[in-house]
Amino acid sequence: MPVEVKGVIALRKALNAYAPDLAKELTAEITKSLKVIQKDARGFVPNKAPAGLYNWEFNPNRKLTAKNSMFRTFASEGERVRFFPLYNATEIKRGIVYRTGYGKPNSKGFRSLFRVKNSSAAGAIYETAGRAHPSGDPRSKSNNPNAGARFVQQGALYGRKSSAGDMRGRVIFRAWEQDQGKQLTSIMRAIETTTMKFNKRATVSSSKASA
Amino acid sequence: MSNIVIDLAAEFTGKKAFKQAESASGSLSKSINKLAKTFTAAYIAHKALAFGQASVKAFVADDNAARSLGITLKNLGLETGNTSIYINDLISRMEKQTGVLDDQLRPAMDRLLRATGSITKAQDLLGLALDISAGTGKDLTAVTQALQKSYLGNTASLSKLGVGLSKAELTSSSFADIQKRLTVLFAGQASSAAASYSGQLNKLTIASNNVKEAIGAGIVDALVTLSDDDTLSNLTTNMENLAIYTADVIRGFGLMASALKKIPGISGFDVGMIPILGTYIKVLQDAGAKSRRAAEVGMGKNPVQSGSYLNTTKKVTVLTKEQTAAELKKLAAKKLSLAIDKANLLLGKGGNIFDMDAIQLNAAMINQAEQLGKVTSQSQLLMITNDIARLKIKQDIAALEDAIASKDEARITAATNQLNADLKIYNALTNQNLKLADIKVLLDSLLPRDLINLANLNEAIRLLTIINNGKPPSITNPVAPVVPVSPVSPILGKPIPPVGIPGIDYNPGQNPDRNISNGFPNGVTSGAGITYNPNQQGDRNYDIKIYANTIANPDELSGLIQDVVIRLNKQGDYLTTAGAL
Repeated sequence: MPVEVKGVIALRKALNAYAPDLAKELTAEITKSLKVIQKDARGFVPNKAPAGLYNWEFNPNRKLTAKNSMFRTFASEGERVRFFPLYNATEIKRGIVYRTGYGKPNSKGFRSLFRVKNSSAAGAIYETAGRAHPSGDPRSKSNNPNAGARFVQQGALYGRKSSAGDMRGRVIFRAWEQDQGKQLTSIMRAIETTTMKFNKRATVSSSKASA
Repeated sequence: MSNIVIDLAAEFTGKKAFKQAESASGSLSKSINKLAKTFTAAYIAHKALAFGQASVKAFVADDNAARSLGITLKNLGLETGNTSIYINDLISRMEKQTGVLDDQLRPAMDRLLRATGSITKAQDLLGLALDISAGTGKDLTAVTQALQKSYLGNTASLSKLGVGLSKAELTSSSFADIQKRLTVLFAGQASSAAASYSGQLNKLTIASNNVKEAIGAGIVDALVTLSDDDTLSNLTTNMENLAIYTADVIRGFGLMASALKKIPGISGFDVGMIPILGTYIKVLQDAGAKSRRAAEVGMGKNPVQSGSYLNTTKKVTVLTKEQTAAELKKLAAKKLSLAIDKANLLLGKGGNIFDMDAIQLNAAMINQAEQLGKVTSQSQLLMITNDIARLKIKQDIAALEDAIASKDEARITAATNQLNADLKIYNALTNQNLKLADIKVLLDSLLPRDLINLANLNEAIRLLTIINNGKPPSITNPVAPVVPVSPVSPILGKPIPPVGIPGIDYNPGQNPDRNISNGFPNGVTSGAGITYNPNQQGDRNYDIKIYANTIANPDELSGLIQDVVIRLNKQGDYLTTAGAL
């Protein structure tokens, strides 16, 4: 009875069910490539916050209060108050992660297969600040409406903006831009190789012929 | 949470999922249509039973709250005989005015009574709590708790409600002042909320809840009267029968009402209009109403005093136990269904690897092997074992199908485990097979076929024999230089190498002994009558080396070239500047 497997998700499910060793091998290959981007991206996180952004640097010895910092958000009474995320290089680096499990479908029906994330709040700020308003936003109600310009002066944005989305940033997008699609090619190659191996194994007649 | 992500690859699955959902909903609606026909008959009876159960539940909850409030009044020494009736009336009025359920009002009143110890104060604070709750959108329970704590001196929880009073105001003012301020701030909020659309809907909910409670009380009373022997099965059977009978009667009334409407001159329907039966029903209705009024009078008293509470509680406990047993039964059925699902999944897996043609082929091979009487090679043995494993899986699948048909959970689980175990064996054998194949391919690739080739060797021997004047070369030293029979060297007394083979003309300008030993030791370049090239070493040896380099696969090669081009373009080297390509 012919069985057809279409798509990477279906392939990985089939591998998990019938050839767990190949599934592990494929995951290891993909992880290897993702780790390259992760490592590069972590290397782009400066140890200190960009100059001119006073008090944004995290200091473990200083307790933040309403008096000594402007990085405090005020909420109405009874609600949870969350401090503005401070720049902490260690935390940002820890927040750069990769995931190999497929995600939920988005609104257009696409499911992400492998991804690299910049998950910390401070990391997201450093990554994208100045993307929307590279010269600052005069209408902003922020304490520092020119922060965007300040960020752009300190470090340029790498990557491209297209109809598919804004792929400009300073950490993971920079690593991605620098890689020039090499890791993506290796991942695709790994998938192709695994597919071939799996096909070979799944065909009963081929194993007989070779035996 | 930030969403800074690079999706290295994505797969479009939406369409497939939509298609699946479409077909699933299509088949579901078909099944539902079929099911609906079957269930229509049972539906009314079931609904009546469910409504009866919900009514009993609502009544019990209400009864518990009323009992708790009664006990609080008694403990505080506020019970004067009719205080419970007064509080109950007050709560039902508040419920109708504000649209807040008595299930919330009773515990709130209870809490405030315990804090203040005064009915008047508790009543005032409950009114205030209702206003604050409507104004802030907070739960009545939370507001009452905050007021209770503030009354007892802890204003922290009141500040968390966001009532508009600062911490300093709350700590510096007395509770009376705070209450006064809050009364001003939230005046008319509850009545305004009650008049709103949502408030009206709440009132509808209250009305339906009260209906449930009233019917629940009636059902409990009826059950108490019916099951005098106090046995569990009788009680539940009575309840079910009551529901079915009620449903049947309602259905009958529906039919009758529609028939009566067809009679000219009759516009509405009244039970009394039914001849003879109508009179009996009226009598029953009157008796029921009388019993209800008696119960209401009893309810007016503190439930503990009236003594009905313990009796009711006993019946309810019995009912709860019965419901738990039913739940357990449901759980067992669910477990069975889960086992069947799991087995079906495995059947699907087994089906994928089962191929009738392959089995027939393998069976033939097994027969052949049996005819031969013995297995000739390891790979043949493995192949036959593989086929046997596949046949075993087929047997397991059949056994599992039988087990599913029998609906025996233990049998299904055992058959599933067996199939799982055999599938594992099959997978292990397949892997073994592949390893053998890999080894064979490796061995094949290692054999230097072009060098060790019998045809080549024979040809070489033939040529050597010709060179050796028809004598075969020595087997012990097949690669030794061939010394032809020729005149003896006048210097060394050794034979001089031949100058040619008879019948073949050689270029006289060419050194005839090139590539072979000239018979002179190193350094001696000429003999009598022969002039040798002094620059050539007479006994030169030739080394032949074969390098088996790795040949890149075309994809890898193109990948490597791409990588180099990218690197050159980005970084450059000592010949090419970066970006020059």
